[in-house]
Amino acid sequence: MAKLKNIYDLQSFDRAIEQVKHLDTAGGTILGRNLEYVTQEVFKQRVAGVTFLDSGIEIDNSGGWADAITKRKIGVNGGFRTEGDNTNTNGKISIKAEKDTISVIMREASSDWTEMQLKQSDLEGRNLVQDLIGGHDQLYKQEIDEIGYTGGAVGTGLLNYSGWSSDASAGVFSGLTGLEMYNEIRDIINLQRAGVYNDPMFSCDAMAVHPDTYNLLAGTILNSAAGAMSVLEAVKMNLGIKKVIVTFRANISSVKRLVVYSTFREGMMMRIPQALMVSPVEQKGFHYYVESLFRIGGLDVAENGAAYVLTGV
Amino acid sequence: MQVKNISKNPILGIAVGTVGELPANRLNRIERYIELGMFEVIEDEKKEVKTTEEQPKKRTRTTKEK
Repeated sequence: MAKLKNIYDLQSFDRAIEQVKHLDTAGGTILGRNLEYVTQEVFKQRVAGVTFLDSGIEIDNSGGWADAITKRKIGVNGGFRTEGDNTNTNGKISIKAEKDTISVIMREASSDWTEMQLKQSDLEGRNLVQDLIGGHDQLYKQEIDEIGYTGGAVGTGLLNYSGWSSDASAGVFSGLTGLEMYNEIRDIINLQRAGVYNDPMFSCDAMAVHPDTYNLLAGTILNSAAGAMSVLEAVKMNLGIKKVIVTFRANISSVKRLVVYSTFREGMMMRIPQALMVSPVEQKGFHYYVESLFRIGGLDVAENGAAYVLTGV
Repeated sequence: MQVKNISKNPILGIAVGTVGELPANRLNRIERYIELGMFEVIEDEKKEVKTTEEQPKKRTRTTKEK
């Protein structure tokens, strides 16, 4: 008669049971962690809509450590007189000068870490110092984006500067036809250009829109009977808009707006007198410390007619 | 139509805080301007002229010194 021990190595079972007692998984000899594969790639959190640096608006670094930046503008007054005209005021040509000052603020941040955090991140295949300094850079770009578009810590920006003229759309774009949307944008571009006498330096060549607006403009056919051209393509092709930037910030107090603007520095520029600088890493025992700073004046407008706002889109 | 710019930007040539004439081609958007808090319609104030009945002048009595 066959006995159990003849067909099974019972001692091996005993050994297996003994081994299971020392494992931390419930009910199995295979560790859950052994089935876990940690990828080498570390994903980074994406930040939506940091687009101001791509707006075409020139960034000016002059000013250095000064507290304020004053820009000057001159123009010519007067004119010629007809021979024999004895009026005192006629025939005089003079120079008129204007000046405008914007203040500069400093923004700073710091990071610290320990030797242990450094080694542990190394074990994980990450470079902690690179990540931290990369973080300073990312937040710096986000600040430029906010200050450039809406002013942030320095007041107003491209989307809410109080000197721009504005108008209201006939309706929110989601309720308009392709042609109606096109006409709204055409009207605002014409108003802007008429305001600067179509001067090529100040005439708008770019447009900032909310992502929802962009999707509508790109996805709506202007006239389906005439072809497949979208409203956005028609605006670019017919109205000379060379650059369209998309920003989630074009939604102020729950009302979406669209801004057409000139990218020439004669109209406006972004003042960053001191670009981001990072200090040397300081070590004290097993602790490390680094600081970064930048100085910013924000959007400096030289010509109020250089942009026009269409609100309620 | 007379409107007052109550927004933060000049609108159609009407400066912030001032009253101006809404262009004829924008009259059909007045509801939109109001909805977006851009313009406020200025209604003509009807000045009611109060008519007061002329009352006879009161004569002041003078006492003659005897």
